[in-house]
Amino acid sequence: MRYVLTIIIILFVGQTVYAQDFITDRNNAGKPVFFKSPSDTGKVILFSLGANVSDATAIKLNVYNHKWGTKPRNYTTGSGTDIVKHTDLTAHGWGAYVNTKNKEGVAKIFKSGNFDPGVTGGGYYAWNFYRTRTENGKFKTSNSNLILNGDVSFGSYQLYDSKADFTKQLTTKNFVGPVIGLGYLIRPTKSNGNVYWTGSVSWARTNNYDDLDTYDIKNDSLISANGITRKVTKMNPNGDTYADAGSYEQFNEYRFRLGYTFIPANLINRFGFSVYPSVYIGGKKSARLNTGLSLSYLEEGNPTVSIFNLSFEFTDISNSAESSKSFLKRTFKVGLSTNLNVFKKL
Amino acid sequence: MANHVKFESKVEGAAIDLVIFDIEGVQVSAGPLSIKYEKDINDGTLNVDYKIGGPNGASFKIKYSCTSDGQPKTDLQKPSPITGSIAENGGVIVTIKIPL
Repeated sequence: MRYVLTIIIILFVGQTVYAQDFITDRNNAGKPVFFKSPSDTGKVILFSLGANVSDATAIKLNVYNHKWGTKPRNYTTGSGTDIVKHTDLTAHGWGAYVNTKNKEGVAKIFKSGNFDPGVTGGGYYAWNFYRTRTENGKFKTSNSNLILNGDVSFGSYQLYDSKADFTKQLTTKNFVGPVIGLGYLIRPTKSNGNVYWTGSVSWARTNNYDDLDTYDIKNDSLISANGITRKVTKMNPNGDTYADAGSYEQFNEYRFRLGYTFIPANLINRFGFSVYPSVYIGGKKSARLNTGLSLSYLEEGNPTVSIFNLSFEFTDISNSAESSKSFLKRTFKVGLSTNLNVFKKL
Repeated sequence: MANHVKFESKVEGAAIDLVIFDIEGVQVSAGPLSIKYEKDINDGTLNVDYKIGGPNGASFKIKYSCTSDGQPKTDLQKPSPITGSIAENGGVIVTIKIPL
């Protein structure tokens, strides 16, 4: 059995953003469906640890069980010296994973023995399709993958309602957000370098917490005795930031995303350039148009894993007129991450 | 006189998608990254073609062992392990010839 151990150190600039579907991103959202066990037990375990400069760490455990299809399909085309031998293969497998939200920290998983806010867990089923051909002494391959994914995240949000009674103005809203998605990825045959096309459709139960105005609120008490006034501030372990409760809403969201990644050979397959536009539909807002660009520095010999990733995203571009914030402040997000990957056989 | 040949091999590489093993010109395995092969062979050489598929830039390591009538054999030009990477077309063919 082969274990893949990934240690990820994550640096945050600005807000957390999502990167492309395929290459491991700074949110550690990639799935190890592309890793194959050389011992052919079919099982691969990806264990990831992460940290960011502002807060604690993150942890992710991802198990993938992979099986090859029962029989390859062999056929030939052409004739004479131009004969081409084809072999088409299929594989499939299931996976499961659990991970913390990066900014919440590892302890969130283990705290009180429960899945605490910030934890996401889920499973997926993947079908892999490989096409190969041998012609003129050369072996050529392409592949595509279909992934059905479902997960659920647990969130907890602090809200401030200025219109409520004083004692009821500060509340905590727990939120369970399921996501079901279907994704497709294609790697066509390329004479050099690599290209990946991705597309996904998903449904999510989500909320607009990230879009709300926020307030910094602390509960202070003033105590006077013997001519001294003491200010006592109650410590809130969840922080002092509260969002506007009046604007908070939960809603169904439908997400459509495309992705394109180019890994040029003349940069020795060590750099990946990606663009990934998306449209989110749901809630009170009209359709939200997003787009992202990223640059990844890839691991030598493993051009599917990024060591370093810099992402730029514009989110909700189409609704800029509805916000009081400036366009850049509201839409622009930057993410920077570094990954250290250790592959280990046990 | 035939030689009783036992051949085992596996290909390692995190980004490697598949391996097609052709032994004596016949496809004996397609997909899995390892193989166990045993047969009586009249020819004096065991010819193995590894067709290795994955993204361009993916590196791999081939490990193999072979015995002929219980005696260990190897390709002196390409002893195990063999390292390499996929440079073009998402695939590469590596051939070893083991005198029996």
